[in-house]
Amino acid sequence: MNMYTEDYNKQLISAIAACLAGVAEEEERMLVEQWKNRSGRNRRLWQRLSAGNAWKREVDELDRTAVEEGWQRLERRMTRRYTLWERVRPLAGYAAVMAGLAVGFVLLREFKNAGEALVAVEQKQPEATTGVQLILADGRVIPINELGDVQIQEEDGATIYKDSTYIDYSRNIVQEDTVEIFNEMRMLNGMAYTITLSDGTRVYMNAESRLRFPVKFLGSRRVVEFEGEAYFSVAKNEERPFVIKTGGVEVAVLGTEFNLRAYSNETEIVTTLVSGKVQVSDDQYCCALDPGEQAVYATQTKELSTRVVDVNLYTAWCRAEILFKDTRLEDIMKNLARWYGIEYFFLDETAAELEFGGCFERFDSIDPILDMIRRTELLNVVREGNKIYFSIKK
Amino acid sequence: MESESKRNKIILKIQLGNRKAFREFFNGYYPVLCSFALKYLHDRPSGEDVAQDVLLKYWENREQYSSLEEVKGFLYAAVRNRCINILKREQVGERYARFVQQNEPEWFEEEVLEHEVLLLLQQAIGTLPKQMKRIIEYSLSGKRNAEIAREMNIAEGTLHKLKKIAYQKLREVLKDRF
Repeated sequence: MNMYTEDYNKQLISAIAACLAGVAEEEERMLVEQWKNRSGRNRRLWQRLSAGNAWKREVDELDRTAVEEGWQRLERRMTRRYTLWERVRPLAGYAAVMAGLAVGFVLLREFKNAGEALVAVEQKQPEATTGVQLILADGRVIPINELGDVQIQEEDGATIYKDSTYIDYSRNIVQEDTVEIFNEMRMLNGMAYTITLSDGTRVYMNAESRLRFPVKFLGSRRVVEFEGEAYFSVAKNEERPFVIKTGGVEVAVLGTEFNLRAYSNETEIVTTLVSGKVQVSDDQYCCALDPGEQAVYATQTKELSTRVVDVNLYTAWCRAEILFKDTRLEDIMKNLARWYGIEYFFLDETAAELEFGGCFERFDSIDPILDMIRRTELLNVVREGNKIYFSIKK
Repeated sequence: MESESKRNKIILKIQLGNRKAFREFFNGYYPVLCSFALKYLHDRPSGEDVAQDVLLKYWENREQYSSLEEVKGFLYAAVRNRCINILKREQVGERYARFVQQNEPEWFEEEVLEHEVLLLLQQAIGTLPKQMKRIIEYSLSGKRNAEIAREMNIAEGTLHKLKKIAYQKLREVLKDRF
């Protein structure tokens, strides 16, 4: 049948049915005639079905099938596979098998009362070649990923070095220090990239982030503007504090490592200190963090609070890992959407509330992660292009 | 075209694990697949087993299928493969299995076509109201109008009208199917 197109097949089936039932129109009759004349087989099939309305007896035969009984039988088999115990065991088995195959990926689904299931999958190399733009002072937009190792000439004669994973402003020597000229780095989704500023500060930027910075720091403070998420490794210079302005908050540091998360579509600005000292302030409050502490600024209520956290959870992304612990699926997807450039939909509200934990390597595709979620057998996961639909398994 | 997307919608619902949709699909395809398997096996219980296995397999792998065409392709091919394997396993059927395999490809297409036609007719007739269904059945069996009118205890003029409507309706349903 595949020698014809799908459409032709559908028309043919419909036309034959209409002819048999005696309600065909001219067009359909012609189609059936043509088909009959194409081969002896076709003609014989037609005769078999039409002679004495044999088709009607066949249809009655279909009607006599014990559908209800058949369904009950099938449903028993469908149900049996979805008990919790059967869910966990194959997962554990899978983990054991994969453990022997150089594993780089672990997902923990924390069953509320039933312990943990461990799943592993082989590792793929993350791809990091899409979507970084550098905007120069004169408005020129340089798509970073399309260039190889290059040097870019700025207005003041500064030279910018870049290769495929980082860009370096610290190697240039500018003679006249008169006025700061600003560049901007824009990360599109699915991309992380390192920039080294002129003072040697390294900023590892996560997807969908934006950093505006001077090609060379001149004033008494090193000031940059930032939105998104980045891991800052600020070069020590006690005389000139490094200041990050983001959504109403200033983060001032002397020399330190910390993670800053300040996406404009999220309600919190989160600063997590790894080492050194930072100070977070808005126009009213100010707080200093010690390593392992985190400052959370609620952008709506303008409240600033601090807490002690597991730093790994907040910095995993810059080791090309995605780490979650008891995190709502919706929050997980929010993160993944940024990285993989996908959209997600919850067909059941409760699906968004399921909590998962796990550590993923970053893949070039979201599919292995979706597979992990599927294997918990708790959710149906359907991907159509870059749209992903979740529903609870009933 | 609208009903085309309606039919695919059922597949999409099944893909998301909707049991009700799968039940509806089962109602249509279980009888057809049983009958299809019977063409190979000539044994009703084994035919039902095959149809059950194949539909269960579809349910378990439902996430892979997003269109009716794909599902149909899978179901018919899977029934055929299982049947041939069963025939091969059974010593008695060995000669028959060889015969089936030799003549199979065209024969398979023919059977698929036939079963799709039958399914369509079954569903179309199934959507008619009871009275119209009877009228169509009577006239298919070659009864004259006067005879039908007498049996159904209605005036011949009424039957005339009803018959016309019944055929119109059947025509619409058949046309609407694809």
